[in-house]
Amino acid sequence: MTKKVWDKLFLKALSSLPHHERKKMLAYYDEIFSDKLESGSSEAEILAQFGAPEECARRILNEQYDGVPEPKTLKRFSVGELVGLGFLTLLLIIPLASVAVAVLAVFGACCLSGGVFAVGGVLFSLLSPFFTAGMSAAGVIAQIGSGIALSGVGALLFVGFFFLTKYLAVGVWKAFKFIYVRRVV
Amino acid sequence: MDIQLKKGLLDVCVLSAIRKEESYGYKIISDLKPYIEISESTLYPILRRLESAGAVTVRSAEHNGRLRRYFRITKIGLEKIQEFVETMTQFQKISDFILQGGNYD
Repeated sequence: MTKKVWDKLFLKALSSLPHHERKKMLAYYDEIFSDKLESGSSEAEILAQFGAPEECARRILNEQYDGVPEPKTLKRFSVGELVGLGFLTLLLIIPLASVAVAVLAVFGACCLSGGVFAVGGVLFSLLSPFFTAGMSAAGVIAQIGSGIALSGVGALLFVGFFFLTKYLAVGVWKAFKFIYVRRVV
Repeated sequence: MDIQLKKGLLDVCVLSAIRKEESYGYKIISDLKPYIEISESTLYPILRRLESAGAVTVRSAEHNGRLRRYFRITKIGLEKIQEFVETMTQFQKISDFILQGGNYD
């Protein structure tokens, strides 16, 4: 197991906790990991000393929260902040959000088109041997080949736009939370 | 060892490890290793607990291009050590009494 995989499993095991808590815990382990590396231990040795990520997470949860995460308490907005936020929403956020939603819709549509393209290409390749009347062997092979090429392009489009859509959606959600959700105190 | 007793003991051990000078996670674990078993996942909740109780303060400082968190004991932390020492003195008397069979005849 690498530290990256360890981190991923550790964070997954802590999924019941607020994001900032999980980040703090991971930063703590990162610090000790780096210190141990500096003192001459190898990555494998350190991870063996840490133990299973799920077990580390379970021990911390048991010790710190008795298994139950602390309730979130959120700061309230002041009147001034609410007025400012209102103006910001009207003048900036709504136009930007409209653009973001439109771009998301375009990306989503491109992703869907890519998927349809990929499936179409596969179907084209699979069905083309049945429609070979008057075609030479080379023609049939070329037809199957172009079907495969089409499905490849479709798959690339699908994957590319899937991730673009995903990252944009996550970015928009984070920006929304940053502006409208008060920090936990 | 009783869980609550061990919890209290570990808190004081961690406080003692930073009594003379501020220290950081890895060093605290290394300093305590010869005396008591403490893992990374045990230390984290202790440090958080001590920080919430005002027994330690934390500062981040750069070390080799990364951030390291340093813990420093406060007056409350020093008082906690003192309380523990007093409790242990009382325990010692009780322990002697028990070991001698319940009376001093």
